[in-house]
Amino acid sequence: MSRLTSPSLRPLKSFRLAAVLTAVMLLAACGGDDCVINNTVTANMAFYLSDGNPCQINDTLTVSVVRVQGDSVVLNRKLGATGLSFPLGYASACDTFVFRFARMGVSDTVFIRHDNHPYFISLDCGTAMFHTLTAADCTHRLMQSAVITHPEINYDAQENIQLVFGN
Amino acid sequence: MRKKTFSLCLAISLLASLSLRAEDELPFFRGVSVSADVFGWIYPIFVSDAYYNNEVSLSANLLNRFFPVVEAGYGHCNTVGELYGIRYTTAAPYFRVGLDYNLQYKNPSPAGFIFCGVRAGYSRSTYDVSAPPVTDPVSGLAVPFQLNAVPCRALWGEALVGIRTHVWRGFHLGWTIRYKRLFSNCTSQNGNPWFIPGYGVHGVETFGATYQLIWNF
Repeated sequence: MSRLTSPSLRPLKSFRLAAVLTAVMLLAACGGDDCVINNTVTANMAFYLSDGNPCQINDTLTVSVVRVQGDSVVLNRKLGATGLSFPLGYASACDTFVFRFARMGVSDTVFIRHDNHPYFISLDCGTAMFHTLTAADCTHRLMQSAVITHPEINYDAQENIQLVFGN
Repeated sequence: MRKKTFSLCLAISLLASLSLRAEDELPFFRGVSVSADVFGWIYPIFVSDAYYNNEVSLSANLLNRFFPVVEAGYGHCNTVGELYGIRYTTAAPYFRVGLDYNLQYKNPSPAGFIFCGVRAGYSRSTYDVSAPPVTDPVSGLAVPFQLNAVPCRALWGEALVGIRTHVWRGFHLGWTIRYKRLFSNCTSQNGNPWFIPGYGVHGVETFGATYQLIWNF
């Protein structure tokens, strides 16, 4: 009979097994709560030509959002823009953005309709506001269309809207 | 799913029948025990009343080796986060079923035994979240943040080790340490629950403990 199977040592063997199982469980349960640096999510817009290729605006572009208390600039005199990211309103269901092309002296307006979803992250990481895009439209001076590609706006950095320009 | 359930039942039956052959001079059914978790009562009084679970359980003793267990309880959470001032509230019943295995069945001791076990847990709850107003990045205005009755159906598994010690007549004391893992975490478009009744603070994995008063019949 080996020492390990002797009756007096069996409880010790069981205790060791229980201790090992406890240690494994303790190690497996270790984990942290990682918070994002900025809780504000943004809609990501990219510029395309009507043939489907990405494009760059060869003009000085200024984009402002229309507000009751006065417009607010979200992109200021950007040269060679290929797209932009901007937050949407938390309380509003529709946001209006004015695109001003300085050299050509024309403007287009983009309308974005969206649902707002209050989002609870955790007690330690706070809250956020996510959105679902429901419709997008634009005026047609330089722009042809505004197309929603990914309607969910959250922490996933993906293209949400394509702004299509004439060639 | 049916295949997995059938396989599990078959495995348990096989284990039980093998044990019966080996120890057929002993009765298969050795009684039942009821227990109450004291940890769930002590914790809110002496540590924190932010969240806790109160539960009772019923188990059967088969061959002094297998202990099928049913646990039922009520989980409660009403807390305010220090960092953001977010209030989170929920309260709901929960249930677990599982099996304990006596690691000392070959060497029974009147003092008690060490065991390991598994559980499958389920709770169906709703939670409320209220937070200080958030600033609208477009208008600059303060927007209230309030979530009411967000539904959550959670399913999780537990692996545990524990000790049961005899105190007096049919009365025993016991504790368990439990590793828990969520199988369905009821994420919605409004986020994740912070506390799940019966499971604990939300996360794919967590850790729990019980301290039980047990009466054997």
